[in-house]
Amino acid sequence: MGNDDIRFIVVLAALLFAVVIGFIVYFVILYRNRQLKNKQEQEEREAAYRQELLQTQVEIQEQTLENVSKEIHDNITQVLSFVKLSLGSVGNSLDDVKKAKITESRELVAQTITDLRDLSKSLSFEHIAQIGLKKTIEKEVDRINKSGLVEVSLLTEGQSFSLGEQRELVLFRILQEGINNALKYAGAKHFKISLQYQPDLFNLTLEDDGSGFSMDLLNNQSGSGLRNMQNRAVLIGGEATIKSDPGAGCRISVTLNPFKHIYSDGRPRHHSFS
Amino acid sequence: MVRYRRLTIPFKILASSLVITMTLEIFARFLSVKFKNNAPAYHLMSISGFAFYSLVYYCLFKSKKLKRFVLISLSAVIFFFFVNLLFLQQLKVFPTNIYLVTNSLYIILSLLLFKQMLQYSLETSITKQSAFWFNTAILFYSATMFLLMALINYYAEHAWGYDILFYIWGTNFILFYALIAAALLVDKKEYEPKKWEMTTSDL
Repeated sequence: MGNDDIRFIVVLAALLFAVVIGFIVYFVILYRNRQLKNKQEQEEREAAYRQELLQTQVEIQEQTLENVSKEIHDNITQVLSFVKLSLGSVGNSLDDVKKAKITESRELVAQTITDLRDLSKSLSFEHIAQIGLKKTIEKEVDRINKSGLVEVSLLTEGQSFSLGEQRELVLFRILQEGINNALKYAGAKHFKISLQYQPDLFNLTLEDDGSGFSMDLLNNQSGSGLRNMQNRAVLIGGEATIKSDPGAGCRISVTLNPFKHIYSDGRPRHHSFS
Repeated sequence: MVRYRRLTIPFKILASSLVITMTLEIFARFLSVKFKNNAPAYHLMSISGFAFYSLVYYCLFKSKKLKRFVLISLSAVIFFFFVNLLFLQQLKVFPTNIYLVTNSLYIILSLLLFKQMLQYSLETSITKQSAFWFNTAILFYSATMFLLMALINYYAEHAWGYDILFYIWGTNFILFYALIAAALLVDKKEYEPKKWEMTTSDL
């Protein structure tokens, strides 16, 4: 056996090792790419699922609110109207003291009917879709200011335009959640709403002077309402920024591009909730 | 022994095969000293090795088709083992034919397992997957052994010495057992499928 034969064997063995090592390296790279692709696909699936879930939640909530709104409008206010009429007919046959009390009660019932009708309208998807976001907010501001619970101010910049029924509804629900939080948890005295309409940008900012909270709350179970606001903003293709500090009130800003599709999966804008 | 309990079934089979191989290697050494011919031990080693490794592959494959392929090839190799033993390379002759056949099958099985790994890729890093280390070991071992067996036949015809071949053989064995050790060290029951969704149909 000569040197050439030995060299041939060594070269052959080295070549074989190189081929196998090359194959393994190629496999590892291929596998890594597949893992990254799968991870990306899974993240996309999860995001789509979350969005689907959120949309379903919104649909269910809107349906429930619509039912409550109809019930208030068609049943409770009707009964109260009947009570008001009955009180009116009873009042005519009484002495002055009793008549005054009956009149006072009638006024209270009338006020309750008005309040309930306003509440019914603020809950109704159809009503919001009919009159638009700006007017709905104005009415809501009036309603809350009348209650005296908190002083709400509204500032509008730019010429208002329609953002589409779904977006306007979701924005209005974010606003309601913000007001509810300011009243229920923050004990705010003033609440400022600003609407900014620009050709390629819409912004809704909510500010209160309440007790505020630590931003860590967003990661806690108790911050689910705030996270829900952020998720809802994402659902309509926007972004919600929440800023707060203990004792420094809270500022929620929702920004979106009016020309962007509502749903990331490309579904049309005018899909109905009902 | 402690690690053995924590191994998954295919790697328990693999660990058992190492014990058998070690016993047969001792037996081969004994035959070599006593009778100057250890070929009978290698006859046993060739068939027992294939039986164990094909069982490991049987457990690792997910597809029924592949499992059936493993069983059929195992039956065929056992049949060929007896044919070879009786008619071609008898007890005192080193069973290169069996090694050529089994190593060819090992290469096919390892490539199939690599393909399956790509199809059912896991979230776990590849270096933490025992199947990867085992399969790499088998691919290295069988590719080198295939070359060696072919060369042994060729060398035998020319009546050349086997020194260089034994050197490559030894290197191959060290590499093989190092990779198998890595597979056994990495394998844990906990690493079992936190699996990505299936991407394609069975093989």
